[in-house]
Amino acid sequence: MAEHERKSADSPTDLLWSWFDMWRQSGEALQKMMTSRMGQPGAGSPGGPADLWQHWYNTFAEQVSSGMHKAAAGAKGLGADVFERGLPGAEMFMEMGRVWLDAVQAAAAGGPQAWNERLGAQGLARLQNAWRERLTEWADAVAGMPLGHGTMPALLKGLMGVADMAQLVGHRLTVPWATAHQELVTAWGSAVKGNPEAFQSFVHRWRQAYEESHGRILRSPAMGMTREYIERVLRSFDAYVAYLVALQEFVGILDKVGADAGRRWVAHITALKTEDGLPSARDLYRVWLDIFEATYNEVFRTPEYAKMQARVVDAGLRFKNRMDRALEDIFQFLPIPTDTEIMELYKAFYELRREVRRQGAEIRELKGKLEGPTEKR
Amino acid sequence: MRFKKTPLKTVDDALHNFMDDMVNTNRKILAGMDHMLAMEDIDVDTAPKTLVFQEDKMRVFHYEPMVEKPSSMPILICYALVNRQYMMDLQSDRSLVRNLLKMGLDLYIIDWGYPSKMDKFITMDDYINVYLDDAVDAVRKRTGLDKITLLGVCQGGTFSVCYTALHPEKIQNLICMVTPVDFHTEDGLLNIWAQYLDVDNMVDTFGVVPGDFMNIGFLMLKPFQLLLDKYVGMMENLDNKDVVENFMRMEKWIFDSPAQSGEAFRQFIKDLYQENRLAKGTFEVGGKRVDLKKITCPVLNIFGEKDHLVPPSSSRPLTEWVGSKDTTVFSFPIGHIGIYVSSRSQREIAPNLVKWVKERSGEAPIPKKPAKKATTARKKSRAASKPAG
Repeated sequence: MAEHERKSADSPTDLLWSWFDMWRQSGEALQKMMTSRMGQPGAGSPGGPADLWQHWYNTFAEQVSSGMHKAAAGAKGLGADVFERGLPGAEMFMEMGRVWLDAVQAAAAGGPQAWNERLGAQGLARLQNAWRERLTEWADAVAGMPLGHGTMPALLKGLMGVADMAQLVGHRLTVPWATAHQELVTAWGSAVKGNPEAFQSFVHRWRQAYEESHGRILRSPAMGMTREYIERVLRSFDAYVAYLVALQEFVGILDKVGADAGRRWVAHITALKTEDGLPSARDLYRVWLDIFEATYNEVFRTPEYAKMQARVVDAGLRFKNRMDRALEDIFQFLPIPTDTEIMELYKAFYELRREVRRQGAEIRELKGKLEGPTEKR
Repeated sequence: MRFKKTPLKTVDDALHNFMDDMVNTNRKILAGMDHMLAMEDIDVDTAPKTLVFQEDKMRVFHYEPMVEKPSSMPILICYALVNRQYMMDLQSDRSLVRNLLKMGLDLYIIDWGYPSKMDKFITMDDYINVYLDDAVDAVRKRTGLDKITLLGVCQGGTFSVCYTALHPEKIQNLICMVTPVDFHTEDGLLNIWAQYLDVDNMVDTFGVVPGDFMNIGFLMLKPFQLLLDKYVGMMENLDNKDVVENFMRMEKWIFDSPAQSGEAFRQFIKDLYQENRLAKGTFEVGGKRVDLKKITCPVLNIFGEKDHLVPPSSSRPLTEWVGSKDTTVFSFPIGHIGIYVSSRSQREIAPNLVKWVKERSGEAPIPKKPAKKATTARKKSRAASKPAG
């Protein structure tokens, strides 16, 4: 330690090495903890990832604090006193991260209700306030006087307003996902165990969260010279997500029908009478085919299926349409005609051809009148 | 459930059976590979014919007569835009065209060609009032007749119905095969699915709707049968060269799917599948209302009772909605494709069709009573008819 302090006082290079040391030790601590905890229980439980993160964070905070002390010991000249005062502030700064850490850990351990309470819209607002409290404490420590609750808010009033707005905007992205998180986890857990309805719920909930959050960004208007192009690209991406989601919902329906048909088939096989003997593989295949075809056909006839199928087709086409337009933008600088331009040309050809036909018919009719009865119109 | 095949009594039986099946299947696969490797080409559409008229991508062919003195009444076959017209002559020993020619008919057929992107703007008005009209005129001019017989197939049947209503002065007889006229039936999956399609989005995106895109829809009608069982069935017959060749012909036809001109497709789906305008009497082509009551010529309506693409309930009303007093219905317990290639088709449809045409061409007497056949009916029941305009 003494060696470090002496070295750090010698030159900026030594100070830099001291800083690197701090990160190296932090990384080693993380590695050590991970290898010692492999095979431990899951998220939220003692020894799980959240716990691991807690341990790592503690080690990291210790390393930061230690590093700052080392650096401060060598500080000289103008501003050295401020730097020294900042030392406890550095510790406090690290402590601010604990607000989030504690919240996530408690939410993970507390089940769906705790998750929604802590990371839903109101929970996030509370966290933000707690974090801001710690920020003012840190400011007080750095300034060496009570700035946080007096001068600081006055100085940073506008900035805090911006922070509030940033918080609101951020909520648009985070809250839908935080709210949906537990439902998504539950639905997915059930889906991977073979529950097709759960898969449908998962996709449906995912789509809702996306529509309320990131989908809004992709659909929001752009600015500047490339506004139209950016909007087209963003809309294409949004259409792509919509298509993928619709496709998953569609697959979810087919999957569910397949599961139903499978159950029917198994029930059919198990109901076979012993005296009929063992069916051959071909017989079983035939029964399987008939039952599956009939089960799917029943669903295919429903308006719900027809609507879903139409939605997938529609979403796929919309994506293609938007992508085509975006690609046209990209290639407009090349000396080749775009699809839109070619289609305009085709339309002109078509209209010209109709006009020629119409005039041809008129000429024939006039000729006919001049020459007498004709065999053709 | 009781299986018809010999039930297996023991696990030992089952194992033997499994081994036998496996060995036989492998033998068949190898024999099938041998046939496929020796197959030079898949011959379809082999009845001799001559190109007699062409306009843009549409071509009209005249089949060489197969009798010394063919019927004096020419028949123009108007096939659908979906898939190719050679379904009528897919296989020389099961060809509706050849059968009709051998029985003395004089046949012409329209080949719509393969629309490309530049055909996006072709409308139903163009198909019916330009191309079909010009094809009819070409046949009239060639034969020197004022009126000819029009035989419409599937979507081509709907076109033919519209054409006959709009140009009755040029049509002597109208024959419709598996032709949809009532699109609001719940018997067909296509009819149900089409209700929810955003056809504007489809046409605006594709321009011309790709044939493969349409094929996916057709395959989804019976996914297990068409994507799996068909090939399993083929495996069982791989050692039979004729079966393999016939299978390959059908396979070629099924996936030989022209794209659909966008504007015509838009109107076909919107006005017919979604709004059922033909049935309501509000369908317009080229600004003129298609009034089915204006069809007063003899009408023959042929359809399959097991048709899953154009269900009987979609075809049946035709004869009740037209203004003609001479209408005939032939229905057979077969599917959409069976109408052309089934042995029943060759045995019953062709002779009945020829007889019907000859009776109305003055080449055979028209019987006062309909020909009595289990699968044949002749009726004119206006009481049960749906108003068509």
